[in-house]
Amino acid sequence: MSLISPKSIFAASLVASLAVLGGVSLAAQDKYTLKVPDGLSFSDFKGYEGWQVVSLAQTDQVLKAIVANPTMIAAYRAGIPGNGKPFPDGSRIAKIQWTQKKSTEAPFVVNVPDKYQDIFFIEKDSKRFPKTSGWGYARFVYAPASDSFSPDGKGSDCGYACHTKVAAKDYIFHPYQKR
Amino acid sequence: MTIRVTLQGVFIAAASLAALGGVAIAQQNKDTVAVPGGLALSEFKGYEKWQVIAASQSGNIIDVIVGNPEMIAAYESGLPAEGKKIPDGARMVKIHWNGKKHADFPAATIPDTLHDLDTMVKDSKRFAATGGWGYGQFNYDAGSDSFKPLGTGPGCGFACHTKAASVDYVFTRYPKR
Repeated sequence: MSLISPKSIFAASLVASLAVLGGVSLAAQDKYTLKVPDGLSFSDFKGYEGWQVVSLAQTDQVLKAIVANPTMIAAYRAGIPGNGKPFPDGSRIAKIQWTQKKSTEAPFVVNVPDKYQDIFFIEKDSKRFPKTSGWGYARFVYAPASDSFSPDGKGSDCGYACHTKVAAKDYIFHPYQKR
Repeated sequence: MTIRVTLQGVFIAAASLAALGGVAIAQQNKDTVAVPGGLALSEFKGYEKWQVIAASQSGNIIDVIVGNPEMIAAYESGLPAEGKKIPDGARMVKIHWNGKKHADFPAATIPDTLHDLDTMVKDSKRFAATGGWGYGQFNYDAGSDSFKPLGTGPGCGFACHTKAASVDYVFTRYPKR
């Protein structure tokens, strides 16, 4: 016979369950309420987790996946920006950045995503963002400890200076690669 | 008004038709290519639009792993996990590109030409001999813009993936995004 009664096991597991639930509800920030002051809202990009991949990139620091909404994917598939035409209003693209690590499981040397670092958003609205060639930019930084995002800076032009380098490609660095 | 058909015009039209023909031939191959005795690429139809699971890089190869809705649902339910099975119908495709330095941002390596597609599908009855998963590899030939199956049978990835047998043979995790 057990020294611990079923009742006390139930009570202990209930407390543990509540603690877990409490932890989750505290941590579960609603990212779609976030906004860069005087800039883009996270909610403008709702559903980006399911968007189609445009491309990837890797630097010494990070591994990135670039995904875009159906409007932008359709534009890519129609030959934009290589055909000299601009992306249409409503185009949205997100760049998800992870720090990287060597896989400890794979039987060969491969770098895989480690910690989520930040997400960049760009959206085309030629009326709303005329000063930055029709594109609005935002960055949200992810904090693993609190499982939450915070907006970086203010305004909607944070990426413009950098993206001017590819003005000839309607300010977009990444082509859509064959797959 | 008369329409003048010049030799140059005829030549351009013929060249355009030839180019279109080339595209049509190459696109046929994607729907018909199959590993002898193994997976057909058409079993993964629509993978171009599937959701991203993760990205990785090895040597000069940079790749993205995408999954069908069944596989994404499995990830969102907490799989893969020790001792748990991925449901039948789950499919994944790993798109391997050769890497190159971005011409306008050399600090970044980005996809260059397509290298190959690796495919995995869960069907515990059909692939009972290989842990419930069927594997296929389709090498891309840029010269002919077509895919060539590698080897025979659905077991090409099994030996390698056995290292992850305790989590139903799946290496890739679904990182937060």
